[in-house]
Amino acid sequence: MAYVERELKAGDTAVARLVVLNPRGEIPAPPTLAIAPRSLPLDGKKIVLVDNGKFGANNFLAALADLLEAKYPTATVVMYPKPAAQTITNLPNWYPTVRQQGDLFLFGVGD
Amino acid sequence: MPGIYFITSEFLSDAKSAAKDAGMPGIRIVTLPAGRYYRSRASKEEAEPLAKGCFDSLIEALTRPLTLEEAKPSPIGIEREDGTIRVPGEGFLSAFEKLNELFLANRWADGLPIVPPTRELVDAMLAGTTRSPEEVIGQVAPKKGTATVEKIATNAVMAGAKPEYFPVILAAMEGFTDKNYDLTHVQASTGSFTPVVIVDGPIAEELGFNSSIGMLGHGWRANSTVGRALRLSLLNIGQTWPQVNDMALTGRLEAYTFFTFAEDTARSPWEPYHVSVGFQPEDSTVTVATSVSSPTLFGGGAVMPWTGQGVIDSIVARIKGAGVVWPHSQTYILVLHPDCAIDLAQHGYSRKSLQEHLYEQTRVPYEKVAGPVFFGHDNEIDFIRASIADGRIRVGRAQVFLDALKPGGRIPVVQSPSDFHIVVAGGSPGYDLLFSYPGTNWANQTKRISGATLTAAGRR
Repeated sequence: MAYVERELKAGDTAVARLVVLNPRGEIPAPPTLAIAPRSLPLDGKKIVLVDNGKFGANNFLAALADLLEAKYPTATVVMYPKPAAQTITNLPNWYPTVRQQGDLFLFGVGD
Repeated sequence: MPGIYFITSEFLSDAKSAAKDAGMPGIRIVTLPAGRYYRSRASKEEAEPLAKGCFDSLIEALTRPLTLEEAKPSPIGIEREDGTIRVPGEGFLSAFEKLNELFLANRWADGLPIVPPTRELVDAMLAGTTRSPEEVIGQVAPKKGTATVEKIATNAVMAGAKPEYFPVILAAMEGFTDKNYDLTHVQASTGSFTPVVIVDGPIAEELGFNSSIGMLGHGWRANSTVGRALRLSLLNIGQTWPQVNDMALTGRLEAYTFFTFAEDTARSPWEPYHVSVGFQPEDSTVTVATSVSSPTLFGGGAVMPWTGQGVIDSIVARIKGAGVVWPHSQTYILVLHPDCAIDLAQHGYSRKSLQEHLYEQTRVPYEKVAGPVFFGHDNEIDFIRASIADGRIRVGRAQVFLDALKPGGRIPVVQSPSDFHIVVAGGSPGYDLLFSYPGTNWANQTKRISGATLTAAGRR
């Protein structure tokens, strides 16, 4: 992040200057990952709808499932709910299982 | 696996920030208008217009070929936050004012004036500990900011803390960054969770922490500035900001200092809290915990008569009647004012027997927890079974719940009696406080205070 630093300039009449330390923590760089290539078209694909467990996400995804099935009758739409929204212990093991459910995923609905 | 994420509009910046933190800044997002989504999600029929409205965007996001940047994204660089900042003014007060404007504009402050963290003041803060300025205390969620001793000292100066408080602040930061404390939830969740910070042992009195009338209020520099130093450290080292990646909907109810107080070990009839969780009496400790909101008050204060048993009965009734949807994963901090604790002790309660009494009396009949819940489960019973399966219910406690999951069974509201954390503090007269948090396995961390140079306690 660029500082909004105020530098002294020629002609500046400042007679006091506070020199202070940066309070922010250094953020280590994560490995940068690309998103998966898109595979056209959706016909014949198995589409996985991941309900993140927030109230009403299942209703929204169910409405989307109807639209997807109507537009892509040869596609298969499956619901695959996340086990619980609040867990931190199990999700690293659970997320890879989404890949085993189909070809594409839709995840929602994030606050 | 190709995919897309649905996000409501108010959370778009939060989602992008989280995606970058995870190293995948290019995730494809379909945004739903927040104002409509939250009012039309109660049924599939109500959600249909929203689904239709985003359908073309969804298909486009799922099928549009990747751009070159998406296929091979530019590496995310390390975000260095070092060096010094120079702020000029016509005089000290002018520079001080400009410094405060600058820090708030940069999102480095909490909205109240800060003490300028000059090299001299930071060095004076560092003199309060034997620990090296370069020592890494931990990584602060959500951005995994590196919390060195010097960075924490910089924030402690800004908060107005005294150097002798610094070992307490460092120990609390050890708790917040412990892998078993869910700091991301506390820092970013819409739930507006507020940390609770409890100091125990001889250092509490030596530093002048308030544990009596007004203990959660203003007027005691130790309570106020230790709490504020933690507030600023979490904000600056974890790099959070409201409406960006801190989505606490109301803001925290103790936004500037958290709930920071000391246990009154002198007036407690029982061993100090930190001794009850395995520390030595001569140790000084700090416990960091989480509360969903302000505590619930019990007892009569200066207004009404009370009895210790009456207070406990009221707490039991409150917990059982709350309709809590996570009876298996709550944790509670019960702060008894000394007179109440003494009354309970005179009626035969130890801390342990009181924990066991609360555990037994708050059990909820099986038939009353079978109501619908969200978070992906049709009812509470399914949720508990899933929690046993995925390990959220601790090893050794699962059988208790399995035995209770049948007609006539009584399901505990916590996993074990020790999930009622009982602390003695408050005035005479006083109220009794109940903090709660739905996350037993990652709610409380107690750390020993060490490395102090300016106090008799907290040195080893």
